Amino acid sequence: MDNKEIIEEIKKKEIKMRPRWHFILRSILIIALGIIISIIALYLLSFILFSFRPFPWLPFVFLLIFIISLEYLLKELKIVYRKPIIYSLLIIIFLLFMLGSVLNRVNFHERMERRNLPGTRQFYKRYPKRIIEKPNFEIKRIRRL
Amino acid sequence: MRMGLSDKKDEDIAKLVQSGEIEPFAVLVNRYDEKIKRYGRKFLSGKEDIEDITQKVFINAYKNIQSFDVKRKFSPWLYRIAHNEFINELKRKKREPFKFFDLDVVFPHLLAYKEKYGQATDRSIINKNLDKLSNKYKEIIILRYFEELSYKEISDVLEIPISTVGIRLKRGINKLREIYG
Repeated sequence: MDNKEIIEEIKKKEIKMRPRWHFILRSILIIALGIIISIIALYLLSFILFSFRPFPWLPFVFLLIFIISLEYLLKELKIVYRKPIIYSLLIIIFLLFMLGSVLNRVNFHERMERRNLPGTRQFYKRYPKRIIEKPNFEIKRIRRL
Repeated sequence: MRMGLSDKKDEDIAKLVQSGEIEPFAVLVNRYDEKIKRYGRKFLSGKEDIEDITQKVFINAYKNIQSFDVKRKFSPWLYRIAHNEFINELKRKKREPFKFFDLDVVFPHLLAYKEKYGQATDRSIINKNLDKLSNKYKEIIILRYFEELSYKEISDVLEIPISTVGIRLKRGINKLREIYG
């Protein structure tokens, strides 16, 4: 098949170019999906930090799935796939940890727990805030010799 | 066909196609038809398969031409489409399952492979023994030594890190040397 035949094929089958907006919309959807995944991953990571004991395994598994999905989405970008995966993965984890710690600093989950919203009520009941046990030791007087 | 179209760069022709002109696309087909077929021949043996898939590559390129950024090079973009089409065909025929995930792309490789074509490798030796290599080495060698793409361009075609291109090229050539003796 030569070049003319391919052009004839395009004309005969009335093959149309996908319009530019199709690709713009696709990019917007990918960005939106990336933002949603990042927010959920951030929520889950800060929640894990909030309720460390007992360790919330189910949110942790979901967090891993969301991080992998985020990495997969970011691989669409030239700046990401041209570098080894470990770099982008470490940056994602670092940013999530940083922002997750900030959320905990501002008592985000305590406020959410107090609000008792229908969607999150069961979630906070199942994994309550971590209890930091106070050290139990006696202060003994040291006799001076 | 307008005068001087054949003197224009691929990217300028792609821009014309983007504006709605179909005829300039024939110039791009003319320039890349043999190259894409040659690329396909390294994966598939059936002549009809290669003809059909090459046609599919150009039709897909035409359909998706609006996604091409004219500030970038056209050839890696087209090879990316060709790569996807040939890999899909290979998967369909189940000759060799392609790995979804490879440790090669996870960690950085300090060793960059800078050997130039012809320095220590001969195209005919490569060509004879290419089929003995797995696809992940074979494809990189084809793109580098037969299609003469740069590391960055190969990285864009395969969507893998530039350092992985270097390390796979080095391993592939070493394997060829072992085979050749």
